[in-house]
Amino acid sequence: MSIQFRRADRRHAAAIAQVGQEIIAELGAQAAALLQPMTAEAVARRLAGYRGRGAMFLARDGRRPVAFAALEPDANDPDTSVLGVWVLKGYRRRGIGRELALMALEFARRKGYRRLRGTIPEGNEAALSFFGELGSLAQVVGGGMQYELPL
Amino acid sequence: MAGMSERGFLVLEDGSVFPGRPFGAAAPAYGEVVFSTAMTGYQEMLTDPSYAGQILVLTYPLVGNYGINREDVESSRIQVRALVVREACPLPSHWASEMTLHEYLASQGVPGLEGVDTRALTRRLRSRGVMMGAIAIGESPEEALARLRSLPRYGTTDLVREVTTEEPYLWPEPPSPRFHVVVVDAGVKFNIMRLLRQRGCRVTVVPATTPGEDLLALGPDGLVLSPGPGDPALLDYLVRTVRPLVGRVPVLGICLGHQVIARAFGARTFKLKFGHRGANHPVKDLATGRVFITAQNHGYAVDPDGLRDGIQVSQVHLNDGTVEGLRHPELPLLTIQYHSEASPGPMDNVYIFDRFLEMVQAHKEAR
Repeated sequence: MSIQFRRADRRHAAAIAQVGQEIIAELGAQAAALLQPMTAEAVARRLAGYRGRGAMFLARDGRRPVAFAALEPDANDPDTSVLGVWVLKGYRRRGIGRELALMALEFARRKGYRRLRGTIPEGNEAALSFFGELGSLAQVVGGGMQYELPL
Repeated sequence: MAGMSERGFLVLEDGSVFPGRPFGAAAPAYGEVVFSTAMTGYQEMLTDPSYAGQILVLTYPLVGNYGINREDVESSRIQVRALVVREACPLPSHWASEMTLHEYLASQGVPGLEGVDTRALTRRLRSRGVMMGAIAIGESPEEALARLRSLPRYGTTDLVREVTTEEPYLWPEPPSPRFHVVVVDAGVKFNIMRLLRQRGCRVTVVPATTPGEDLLALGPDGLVLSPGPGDPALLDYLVRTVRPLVGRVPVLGICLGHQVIARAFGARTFKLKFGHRGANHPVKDLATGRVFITAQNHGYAVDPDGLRDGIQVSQVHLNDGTVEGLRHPELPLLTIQYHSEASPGPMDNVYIFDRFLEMVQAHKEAR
């Protein structure tokens, strides 16, 4: 397996949408914690809407898209960005998500963000461990969990 | 570890969650989460009764590398509710090692959690103060937090009654003992008895609930009030026992024993933000100016403002100025907040036992 990583632009919107749809099919829309609709057009619109303050990163196995990360500005706090990472089932526990997250972290630092925040879907212990290993602190807030990573 | 759940969590009462991998017993646990900065001595810490009711976090990153042996215990069982480490060594190397840390915890039903970011956890405890926590294995962090909030808090339980000996017992006697010392067991560590025996003392250990007259009926040359767990404010019965004995028999108070004596002399105690637990705490002797490096394990301290009847502060902690020792200019009384018996920690302060026995000798000669 040779995985290629890159920062995504609108040409990769369809690939990202494909990964998103597969994850929604596996986990269900709520547990997948992906913004809907997960179509190429919607992904392209999101990428354009970042205006340089956010980015997506894509991992491929050959031609097949297998994972992506999205780093988006927090609408309520200019110092904070929100990170999500999604990896297809057969590709988990291989360091792909970590590599994407590190690319996103580097981007966030370059853009001057001071922290990352995100939601951990209920019952997703793997996500909790993943963000913990990146150095973030998870916290039970209300009925769910959030993580925060100072940059 | 084979057969263990893949993931576990430490959940603090403020909602923060620290993922890790379970080892030891696969059981849930809750307690006050505290950290120790000692680099060695995990077996002594695990068996120190002063850790009763607590989840112990070790800041040193590799734990268990010299295994577990028969000798280095400070009580008859593991006292911590759970152990949290960065890395638990599965292959110990030491001539005396008989089992791994994992096997030791598992054999006594105590859970461990490894792979935890203990540096981040310690920074959390330092900035927010010690707090209650739960080890979650096989349940979600949200469920563990809900369970934790329904459980009694550390400072509301008299843990001394949980760790004290049920019956009096005699520590193995030295040949030709010089003195008879009675140790009031509020959570005593074996090394206190070992050091007294080395110095020629016959040692009787009694329950913390023993009435004062029964203590005197044993005919002690000296009395040691031991360390122990929990909030000294809950120990009115020990304060009442001790106060009438001061002056009638030389008394050494160590850690919790020091706090009990301070209360007997009018002081109140207060909870420290994150306690003193480790093996390199600097303490200054006010009479000489000398600084000693001490082993410590306490979450409460004495407020000197209320002290009366002539008792004086003799030593202070150099990091935060808290009271580390008391003396009385006229009465045969000596107290220290730190652990002169070490175990683990530097042996620099075993002189305290010599000083105590000099007091015992002088009192005996004056009778």
